Amino acid sequence: MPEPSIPDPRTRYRQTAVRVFAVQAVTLLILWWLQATFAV
Amino acid sequence: MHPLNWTILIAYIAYVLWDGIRRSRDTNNIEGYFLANRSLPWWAVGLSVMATQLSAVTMIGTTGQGATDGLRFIQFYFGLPLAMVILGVTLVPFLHGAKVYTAYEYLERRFDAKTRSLTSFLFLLSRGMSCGTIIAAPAVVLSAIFGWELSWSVAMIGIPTVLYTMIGGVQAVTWADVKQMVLIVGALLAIVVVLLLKIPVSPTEAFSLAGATGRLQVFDFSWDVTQTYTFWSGILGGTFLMLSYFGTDQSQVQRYLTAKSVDDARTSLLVSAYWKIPLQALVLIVGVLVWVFYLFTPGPLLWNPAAEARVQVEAPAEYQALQGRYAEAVTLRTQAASAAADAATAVPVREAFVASEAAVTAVRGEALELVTRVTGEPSRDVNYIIPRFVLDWLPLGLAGIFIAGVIAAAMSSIAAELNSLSTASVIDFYRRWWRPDGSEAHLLAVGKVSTGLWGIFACVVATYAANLGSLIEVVNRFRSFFYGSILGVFLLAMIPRTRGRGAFFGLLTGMAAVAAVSFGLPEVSFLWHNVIGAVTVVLVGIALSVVPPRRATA
Repeated sequence: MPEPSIPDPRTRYRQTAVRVFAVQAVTLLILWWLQATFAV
Repeated sequence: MHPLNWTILIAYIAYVLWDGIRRSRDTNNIEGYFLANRSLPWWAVGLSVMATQLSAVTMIGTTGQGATDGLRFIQFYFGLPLAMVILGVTLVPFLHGAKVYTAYEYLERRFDAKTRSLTSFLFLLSRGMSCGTIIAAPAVVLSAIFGWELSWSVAMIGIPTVLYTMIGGVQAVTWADVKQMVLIVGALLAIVVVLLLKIPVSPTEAFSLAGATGRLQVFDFSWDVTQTYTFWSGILGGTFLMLSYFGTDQSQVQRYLTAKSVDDARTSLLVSAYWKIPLQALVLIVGVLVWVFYLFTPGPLLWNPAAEARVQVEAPAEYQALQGRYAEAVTLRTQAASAAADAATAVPVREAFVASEAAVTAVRGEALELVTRVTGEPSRDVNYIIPRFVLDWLPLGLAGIFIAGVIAAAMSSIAAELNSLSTASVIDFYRRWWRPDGSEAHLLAVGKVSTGLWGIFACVVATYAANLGSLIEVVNRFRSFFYGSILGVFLLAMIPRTRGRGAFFGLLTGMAAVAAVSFGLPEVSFLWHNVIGAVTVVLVGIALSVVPPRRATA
């Protein structure tokens, strides 16, 4: 089975940036849902 | 506290100290001591950046804020991921690529020595004082909770931190941060689990109760500049504040200067942004859940035991009357909360619960006024909610882990600050002005002595923080004048053909502009000060750089 390749630093930076914004977007959506569902 | 909790706490402090001393083997030159020979992996640097900004105040103050004010504070961090991306393509490549020890060293290469010295001096002044207050905040709370002398709490937090930072340098600081981050997150998650098990209503009902009192109101889209936390102040003002903090503050810059490459440095900043908003949300939700817990389990009228003891002695009749009214209000609130949890959608039931919560808050407000009148200073009761909950209600062992987490959070912030204060002192002043030809061994020794001296200074400031209150406030206010302005100088450095004269006088003008807004329009939220300072410096800097310098007459 082939070894998984280690991404070069630039690719890793881009992938990390995408993941960071995905995590923030999901968190904001959860907070939005909390506010919309429970806040007066 | 139970002996098992003490054992956990002491074992943790001993381990951090031992690990720090162990790491001193790799620090036999100044690049190793201050920058870990630029060899650290991106993930460790990212966790270190995250641990540095998560101080003990976050663990005890922000959780308390969640209990009293809810989730709106989270908006403060909305600009953080954006700032990290901007820094990744602007300042980080400049600073890491320049192979500097301090951010201010880069300013001399780009502009002149006086701009470097002024910015570095402003950093030393503000961070030197703030380091003391970072020790003081948890030390005051621990002293009040355990009934210790303040100096003992300061020593318990300060001495191990100073020792491992002094001996192990940035290697010890970074690797201790990694462990501290794990401990902090573990402690917070453990509290959430305990809370969910102890609260007698379901999580949906708990959130419904919190929502009824506005505690789940996260987003405020108003453009009101007098409101501290709004969506726009977070996105715009917050981005500028984070750019200043992570781009120009040596305590942060030094973290990513230790990374192996520019790409590793940029990735480490992004990693630190990864969990920042989710983690802050977790911290605030812990506070909200603690508030729900105390709806069904009556808590004390005053959370600060030291303040309560003084009021009981100096105004016994008045306090007893308040306690009577508080007991009645709390009983009514518990009944209303149970009814509202069962029938959350029924408007009258919900309104009755909100009114009962307002009644409890009103009595507590009167008690806090009484504390201020009796002791001459505010109780800062909000900081004692979580420590009291932890000691009174967490199972055996978990309380020790949480207190260790609070101390870990304080240590990680203090260690980074001591390390950066020492670096700026040695590199920007001692080596620059007194001993440019100093040997590696000599500068390393001066670096260690400097770390120790800054540590002693911070501990002294922490011990006398109450007496230095107004001085610390002045320094904090002064810091808000130049935080955005220093960012403006670094932004100016990236604009071609700008000159040292523009940077130096732009910095002074930016600080003056923020001071004018701060005194003239005090209602404007501090988050906007950073925008005003940075924009003023850039505009004035460009204008002065365009005007040709006057020629000296013969």
